[in-house]
Amino acid sequence: MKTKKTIRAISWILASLITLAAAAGCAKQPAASSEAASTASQQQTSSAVVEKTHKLHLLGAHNGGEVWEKRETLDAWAAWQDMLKQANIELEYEMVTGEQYPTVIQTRMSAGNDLPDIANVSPLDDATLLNFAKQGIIQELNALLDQYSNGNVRRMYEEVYSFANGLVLTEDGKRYWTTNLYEKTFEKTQLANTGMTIMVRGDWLDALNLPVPKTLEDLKNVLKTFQEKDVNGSGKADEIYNLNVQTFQNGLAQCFGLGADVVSIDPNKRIAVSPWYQEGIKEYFAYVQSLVQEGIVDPALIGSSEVANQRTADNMVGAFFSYGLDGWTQKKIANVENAHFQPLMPLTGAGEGITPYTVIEPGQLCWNRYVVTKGCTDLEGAVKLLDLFYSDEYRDMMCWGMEGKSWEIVDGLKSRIAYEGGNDEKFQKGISNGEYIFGDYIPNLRYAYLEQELASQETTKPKAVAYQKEINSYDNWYTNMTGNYLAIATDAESEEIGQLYTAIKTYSNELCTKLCLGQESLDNWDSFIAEFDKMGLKRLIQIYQDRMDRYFAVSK
Amino acid sequence: MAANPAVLSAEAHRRHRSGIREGSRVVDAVIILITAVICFITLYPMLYVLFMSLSSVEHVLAMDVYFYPKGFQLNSYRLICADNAMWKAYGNTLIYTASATVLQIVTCCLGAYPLTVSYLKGRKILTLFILIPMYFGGGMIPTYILVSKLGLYNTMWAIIIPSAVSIWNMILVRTYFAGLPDAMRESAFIDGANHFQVLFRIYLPLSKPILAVIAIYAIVGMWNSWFSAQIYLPNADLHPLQMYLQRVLVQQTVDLQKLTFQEYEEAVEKMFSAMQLKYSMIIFTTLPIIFSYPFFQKYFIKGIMVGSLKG
Repeated sequence: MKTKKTIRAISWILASLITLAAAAGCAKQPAASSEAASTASQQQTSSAVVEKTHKLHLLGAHNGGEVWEKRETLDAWAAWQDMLKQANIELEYEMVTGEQYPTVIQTRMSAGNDLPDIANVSPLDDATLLNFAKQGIIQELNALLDQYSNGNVRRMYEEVYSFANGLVLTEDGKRYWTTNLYEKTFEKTQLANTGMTIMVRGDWLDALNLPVPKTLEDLKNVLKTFQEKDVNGSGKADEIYNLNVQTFQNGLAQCFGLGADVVSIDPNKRIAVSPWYQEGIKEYFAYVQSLVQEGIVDPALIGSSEVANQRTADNMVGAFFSYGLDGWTQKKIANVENAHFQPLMPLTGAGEGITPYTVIEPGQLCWNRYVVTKGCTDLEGAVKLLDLFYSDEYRDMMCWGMEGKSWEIVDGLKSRIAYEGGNDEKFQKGISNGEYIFGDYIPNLRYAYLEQELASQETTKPKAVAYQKEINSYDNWYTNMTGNYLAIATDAESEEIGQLYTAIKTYSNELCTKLCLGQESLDNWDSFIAEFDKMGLKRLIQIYQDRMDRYFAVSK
Repeated sequence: MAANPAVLSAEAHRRHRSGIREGSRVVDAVIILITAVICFITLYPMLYVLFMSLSSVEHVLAMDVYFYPKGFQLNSYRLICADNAMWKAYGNTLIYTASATVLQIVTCCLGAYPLTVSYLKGRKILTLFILIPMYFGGGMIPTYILVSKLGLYNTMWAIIIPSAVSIWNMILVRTYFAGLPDAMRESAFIDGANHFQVLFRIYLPLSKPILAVIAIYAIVGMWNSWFSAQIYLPNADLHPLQMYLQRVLVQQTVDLQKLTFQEYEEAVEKMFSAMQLKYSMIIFTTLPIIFSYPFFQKYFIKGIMVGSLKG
């Protein structure tokens, strides 16, 4: 009796569940159909009467914060809203914190699910993006631009930032993404490269009355003298050179003419090189070994930024590698007033026939990736937004802000208006530029004038300013961002790079460390080179060379 | 039964020869020393983090804090407490932890009980069916698609619902239930009880140790979890505490070589301030979980043996 009742109860529950599920399933379909019908009718009506409002969903990395929360008080935000209104675009901003964003974008693109109309896909590499493009998850832009664009996007890439066009076109001329664009000039005619170099403690040089090192021998002597004279007054010979011996991008290797990465490019000579096959490599390792033996380079710093920061804070670092205009590291030195660093021009004396190089951040940059995804149904709207992103008006709003509040014309150039309280004061007064609000959430277009930047630092950092002016006309340099001169890799190249690069880079880093510390002998040099040959380093160089050739063939 | 005097004498002789006597102070001292060393090794990392969190930024950067705070300060704790995002994350973690714990206890008990009923038809197949997903998951992308299609993506449910059932915990509870005498269930039936009454009035009151164990497993698991949130919760307002902690730590480990000149200075600033803050954050986020252990300790040791003794 009891069992029958139970069975009946279960049957009722199951029957109810099935009915509910069926009702829910059926109810969804008409709703979707009616939505589609309503959208279609809306489209027809709007095209007939007024221009359609384009509602677009953006996805990117942004950490929110006070500026974003109070964006409506800022003049650049108001200007941006006006631009959108004029273009009949309404945006939905989906923002994900920077740390989480790589996982979010990778997952959503791989699943092809929850895709926005336009996404910032910068955490993904080119090979992955091209794979998504093949799967149709990313839309090809040239066809869309032909159909809907007012020409802004192409004008920016082909005329205003013409260096960048070769970086966004695939070998077959397709365009899958747009990017951030940046150009800095010096005295209107020259590109302004930002120098990266060896920085020596300027106040220690002054205290010991030592000249600024010009040669490699000078540098070693200065560093030795720092220790011998106990210039930091610790009672120990603990004044060290914070040298990254794992990689070649450390300023010192460049003094021996060496590239800044396992494969580096020299855009002026248009050649791809690897330090391992360059002339000054053995001399470089011999020199670093001598620094290690004399206790000038501290092996404890290898691979540990924490220890390096500790040594800096403890007033122990006599030299390190950074931007020549670095003014932030000196602030980290505890209890020392007037601590400052002197940037060095490339040091000579590596050997006969060896030209000292330097590392620079190029005055033209093209970075980050923005794509139209397959989730975009309003392609016309998406292209309209891209055209807005790459308009002069938007570029000024993002980079400079509003005329009269953020900038004014001085000597024929845009010049930022200085506020004593810096960005905080501007923020309180409702003044900003778009970059301050958005960061790299949406395409960021910048242009700047080096002479103005230097003028504002002339009194606070005269040595750094002098260095920057001098390095700007120095011709021998490798870039810190190799990708800025390389066309997008083809499928075959991507595959080869994937197979070769990581293994070679790992071996290179390990070998660098061992050779610098004297754990491997330079007598075995031929066997190291044979190993690199076996691993395909020459092929890797050739791939970079081919990509650079393609880049220069396209870019002006 | 009286002890054999010959055996006792041999034992006393052996102890005498080795110099180890019951109640020996030397032995006590050695044991205490070893225990103290083990305690120190276990506790020191936590104490180190505590000392660093209470030390001034200069000493933290110089990394010269070892056995006591240097330049004592509480500013980092003040900073953390004044951060709304941290409190929001704290609140979210409490919601996720409480929900997952309650739901896991409910689902584990409801799932485990039928599996202990010997006359349940297809019990073995059912058990096997339940065990398979414990060893083989669907993979990240299929699971993501499932969560997304169910409309859970970017909602708190994306964390709560998938963590509502833990097969491992269910098996633990089933094993514990199986250890209870069948006769109790049978006598309850004779007295007119149904299955729900047997479960709630007889089995559960007798199973407090295992419930404490799965509760602490669920609490610790949820408190420390961040991966699901990383995938399913792009909205920072829904983030649990561990995601917030990760944000603080990641700011310090940024690869400066990949940044442009403009980004570099800001990253360095963040890096230095985060170095101090991270220690306080670690203490702040770990304390609740440390304090929750004593409440479960009474049942915990007894319950945790279940998994090790009976499979």
